[in-house]
Amino acid sequence: MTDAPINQSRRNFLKVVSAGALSINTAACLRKPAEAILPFARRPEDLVPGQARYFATCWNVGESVQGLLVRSTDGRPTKVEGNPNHPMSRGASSTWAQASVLELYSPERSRTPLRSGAPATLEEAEAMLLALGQKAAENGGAGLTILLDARPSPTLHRLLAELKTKLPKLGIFSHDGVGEDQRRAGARAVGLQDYTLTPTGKPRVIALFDADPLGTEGDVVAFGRLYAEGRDLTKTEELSRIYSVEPHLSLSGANADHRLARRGSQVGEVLAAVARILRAQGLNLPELPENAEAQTPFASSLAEDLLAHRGRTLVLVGHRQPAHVHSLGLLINQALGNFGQTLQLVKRQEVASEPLSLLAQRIDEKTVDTLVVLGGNPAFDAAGGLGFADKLGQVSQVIHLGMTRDETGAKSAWHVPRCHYLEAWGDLRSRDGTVSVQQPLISPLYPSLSELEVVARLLGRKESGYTLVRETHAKLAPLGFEKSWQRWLHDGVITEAQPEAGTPEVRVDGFVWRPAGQEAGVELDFVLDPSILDGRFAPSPWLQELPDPITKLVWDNAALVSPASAARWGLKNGTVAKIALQGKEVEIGVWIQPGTADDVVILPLGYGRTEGGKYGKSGVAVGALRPADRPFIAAGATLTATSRTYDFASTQLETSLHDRPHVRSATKTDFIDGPNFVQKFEIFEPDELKSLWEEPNPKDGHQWGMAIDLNACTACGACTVACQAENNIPWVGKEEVKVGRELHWIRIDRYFEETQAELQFQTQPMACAHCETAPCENVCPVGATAHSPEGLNDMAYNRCIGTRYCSNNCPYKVRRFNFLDYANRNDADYGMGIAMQRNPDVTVRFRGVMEKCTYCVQKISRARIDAKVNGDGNIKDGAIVTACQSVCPTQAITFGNLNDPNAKVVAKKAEPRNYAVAAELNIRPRTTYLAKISNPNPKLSKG
Amino acid sequence: MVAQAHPEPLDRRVPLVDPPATIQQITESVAAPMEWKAPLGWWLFLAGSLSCLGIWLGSVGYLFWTGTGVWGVNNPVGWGFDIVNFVWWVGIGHAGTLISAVLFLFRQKWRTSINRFSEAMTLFAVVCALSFPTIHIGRAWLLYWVMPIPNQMAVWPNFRSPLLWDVFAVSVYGSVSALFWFVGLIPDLATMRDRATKKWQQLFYGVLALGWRSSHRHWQHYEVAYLLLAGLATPLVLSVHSVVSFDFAVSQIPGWHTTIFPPYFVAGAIFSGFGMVMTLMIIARSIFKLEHLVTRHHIENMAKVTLLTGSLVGYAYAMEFFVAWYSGNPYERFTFINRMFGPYWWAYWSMIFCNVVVPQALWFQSVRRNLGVLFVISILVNVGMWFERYVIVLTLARDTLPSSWGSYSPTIFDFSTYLGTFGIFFTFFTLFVRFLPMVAIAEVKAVLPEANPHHDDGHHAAHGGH
Repeated sequence: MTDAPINQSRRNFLKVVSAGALSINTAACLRKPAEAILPFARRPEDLVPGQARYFATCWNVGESVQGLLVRSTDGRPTKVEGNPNHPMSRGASSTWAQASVLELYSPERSRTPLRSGAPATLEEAEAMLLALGQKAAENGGAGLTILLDARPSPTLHRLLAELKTKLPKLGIFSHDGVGEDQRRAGARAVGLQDYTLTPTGKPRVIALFDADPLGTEGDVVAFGRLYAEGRDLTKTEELSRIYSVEPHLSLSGANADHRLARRGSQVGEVLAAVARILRAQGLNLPELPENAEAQTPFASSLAEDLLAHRGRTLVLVGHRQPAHVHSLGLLINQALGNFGQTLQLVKRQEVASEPLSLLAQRIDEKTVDTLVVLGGNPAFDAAGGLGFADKLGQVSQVIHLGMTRDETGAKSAWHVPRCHYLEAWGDLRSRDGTVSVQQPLISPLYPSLSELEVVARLLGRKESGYTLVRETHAKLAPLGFEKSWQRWLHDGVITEAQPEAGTPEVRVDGFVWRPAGQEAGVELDFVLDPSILDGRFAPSPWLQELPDPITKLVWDNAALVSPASAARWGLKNGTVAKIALQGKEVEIGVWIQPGTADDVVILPLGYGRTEGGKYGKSGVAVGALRPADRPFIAAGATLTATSRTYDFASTQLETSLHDRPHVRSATKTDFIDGPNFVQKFEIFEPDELKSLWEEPNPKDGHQWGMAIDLNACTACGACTVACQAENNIPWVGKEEVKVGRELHWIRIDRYFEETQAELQFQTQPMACAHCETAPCENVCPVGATAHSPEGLNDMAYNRCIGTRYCSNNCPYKVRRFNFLDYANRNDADYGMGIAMQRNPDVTVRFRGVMEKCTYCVQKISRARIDAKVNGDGNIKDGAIVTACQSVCPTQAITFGNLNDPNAKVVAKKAEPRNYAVAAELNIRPRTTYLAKISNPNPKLSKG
Repeated sequence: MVAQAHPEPLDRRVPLVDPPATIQQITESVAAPMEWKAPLGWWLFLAGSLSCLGIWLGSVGYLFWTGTGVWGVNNPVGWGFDIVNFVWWVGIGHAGTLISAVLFLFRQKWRTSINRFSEAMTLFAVVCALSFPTIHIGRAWLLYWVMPIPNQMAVWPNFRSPLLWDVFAVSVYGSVSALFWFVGLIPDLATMRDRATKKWQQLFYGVLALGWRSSHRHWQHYEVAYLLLAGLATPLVLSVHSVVSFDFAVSQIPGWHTTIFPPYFVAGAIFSGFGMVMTLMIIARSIFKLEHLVTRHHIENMAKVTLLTGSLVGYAYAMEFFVAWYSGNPYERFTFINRMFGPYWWAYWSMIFCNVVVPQALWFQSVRRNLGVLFVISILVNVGMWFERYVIVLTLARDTLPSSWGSYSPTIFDFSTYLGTFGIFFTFFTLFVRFLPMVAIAEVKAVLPEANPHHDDGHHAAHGGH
């Protein structure tokens, strides 16, 4: 909006927006701009104290964008939800998005700009940037360089394009810890460098080559939904089948129907073998050398399946694979006719940038005088072999924009605090071309700038992010912009911004295949961590304490090795191993992980940060081992076991289900033959179960219940963090987890069975099941846990004296005890920030008190009040969405009133796959599970 | 010095006390420890006990200040040393009432020499036991909520909870035992009052003796009261540990939910109680020169009870296994195999060795009469019974869902609190042996032949009656 007052500050602007807000959701929310703290006795219009309001915004992790709805409680952002209007979220969100609200309040955020380590004012920093822009204009920007991360912001790229026009000699480089360089190089080789690719539709056959689209790579939330839709059992004939080849057991591999463990360097060979078979069947693919993988039934069965479902298949190559494997993957997708069907191609709209390696070269050539780091933390997350942290020292002036003074910030002359995304205006364009506005919910807690404002200052402009973002999108609604803008803010999506599909020309001529050599020594495979990714989320105690979905380790990374390799190398769980490659050496504890390929050491990245806060320092930094030219897969290392051991903390030590029928599953064929297969696991017939107590009457009023579909659950753990954010669950720290005192109300159990040739991964989210005849209730001497008329197993925290008998008597062991004063310890540790995040509708528990899942009783109460105020008191199905249910990308969780015949949860529980865990105890849990149905290839399943 | 026990020629019973026990001598020998100038050894022992008590106070202070987390308890093992030690101490506290009440009703007169001592031990053990449920809860300052105290919130405790039954069972047991003990003490306190030479002794024993003048009427009332209290206390012997076992048996954890627990716990409690009485008695009778009152015959009787109850406990272990198999419940079967071969196998086999294997040595009279060996066995019995509770509580580590399986390792504060309860126990005990008659003077006199004149036993008076 160009007619806004020019020197509008962000804060003033927010005042304007809130006054002009139209709908309940759109009102711009904020802490009132006046500095005086006023009681709600003089409350702003439309603001009901204690009544939460939601605002649409968006957020990115690398190139992946999620549309979000953020809850504002009396002006404080307290909880993140997915935006149902956004195609990359569809109402769900990721673990990282859930934890992002805690990051806002982190005590480790920078509170003031730093000039050579000494505090400066924001005005001084802005003056510095303006002066820098002016000076650069004199020589066309020579020596000035900007380093971006992968943040796909249209306004940012528009401003950068303007800057590049103004300063033709300006250098623009990009780097992101998630490492998409090889994917881009692979796309470039076949002429697809200008496109982003998004899985879409309903692929029948999904082949993952070292790709983890459910866990760490790309749009995990959107792919989760795609995965769940592919497993929809209403159409069993359409069930998708997933193949995975990978060195480490990733979430995606764990959920695949067939999985082949191969070292990272050998994954491409399997793809090549598949390509050879496809070419032999007449597909237009380049000639490839023969290799041993072609003989495996895996490759031939996969190729056969791909051919049988042309146009409805999806071949995904992981970002860790070298460029030529990506190229081959794209060529196969092209040959199978997947483009436009299961892979949506959208033209990129971004300023041209070059990779970090080239920047390192420029620094060596002494052509970089001033480096502005607009995002990312290359000093930590770039391959150690590049030596980028040291190279930063050779640049005469580094200006770092970041939320914390991280490893890069510590090497910079200027460190400028960056606004959190809930504090700044911005916009983001997701891979599928959807554009959304990043709307702030609170004015910046500390003097800080957004990346848009930094670029604007370099351009000599003093506007706030708000003006800049509106400028970008003004042309989309030339008539009635203001009205459109309000709608965009309300919906969270700019519907007018249509993606440009384009018609890509795929070239084969640039494709060169490099067969994998057989290098001597141990291969090191560096992987992104499912909890903290490349280390950007390491400062979050929630994510540090989120158990790894596979290893269940918290607060640490471990060198993962297969059981066979561990035996050969003389390693046990916890053995400290010395790993050396090209003169670099790292010592790290070993964790034996079934499903890992042999002869390879998996090293999760992101841990062992040295700057940016104490939480991130947990674990071991392995980045130093990464060679510059092979940042993710590097052979030729040596591993020596030392005599020392390292104490890991894992939330689940037992990996075997011991043939117990808690997690039930069947193959598609068996399911079609016997849909009631879950019943054969029961010890007693239902009528054999008699209650000692008076039978509960679950027929009156609202009776709450939950169904968890194991067929959809991928074990990602988003529910754990969402529950933590919603229910004020403290983190307890590694030492406490080590002795078994984690407080998560919902945990994800996982089991491995290695009975067959392939590793079977089974998983089950576990939270209080609200048993109708709950064994916890009768043993409490003070009656602190009792049944509500609506079937909830309620906890009266104030009545609890802490005998822990209820927990002992719980067969699911889902009760959690405050052995120490965890909540107050969090306060002491995290400062007042954690108090600002807390949900005022949920009691903060004192030490000595038992707690557990409440089915989000505060949401039930809210819905009941709303139903009484606005209707007849009947709570409609869907009015209550529990935190775990709302976040779940695969919609595995259904919650509702069991007495409502039209409720979704009733339909779910009526399915033949429905069963109760430990039903023989006659505890009648209200949470039941729906068995998992796998879809193995009949030709491969006989192992 | 006490060479042989000569069987009584007519009824072939071994005399209950040995020479030189006479009416005069019994009073003298029992009263001696109270009238001595306290020897250095007593002071040292008291100092040691008080140090342990100090450790207890420190540990509990830190526990209250910091939270239950200073112990090793966790999820899934919500109970650890706290409940292990609670049950262990309660079990020890069983011998006293059994000896004083049950054996009294069965007219087992040999009990007279040891009942006072074992009742005192019972009381102190119950105090130690009660300390654990008090401190183990997360918010100890709200303990009174388990009491059915009328309050303006009209909130009552949950009468369905075995923990509440526990509160009643143990506190009733504690009060009845204390009453029984005190009533039995009255005539002896009067004796002490009459012998007292110092003012404080006259006051102390005088007040406690409640005006006892040894009149016939007093004796008549005394005997009736004692009999009634014995009748009241007898069912408690069975009920306390049955109720304690309900803490486990009423739950639905595999390995806890078994109907054999009440009798098995009672047998185990008597077993451990006698073990503890033997441990203490073997030392005390020697230190306080009471060998002629607490004879080898007494010790041997206790050894026989230990053998019997140890065998009952062994039977219960076997029966648990049988039922686990016979029930067809896979979780139950797993639990018992896991006890034997799981991560806590060492605790299980320690328990079997101490409780089942070791007591079998008591079939041999030579063992029953060898005080050194008996002392070792009695210690092992106590160790074994501790491990039994450890094995039972640690069943929690592996229950229904393998995902929640965990482990338990006690912290230094678990150990220091446990050690501290020995401080409580021995502080009381040290004071007891110094200030109260540790053998029931009046009752032992009643088993002397002089107290029971017969015309048919000629002149064997010195060798006592029955």
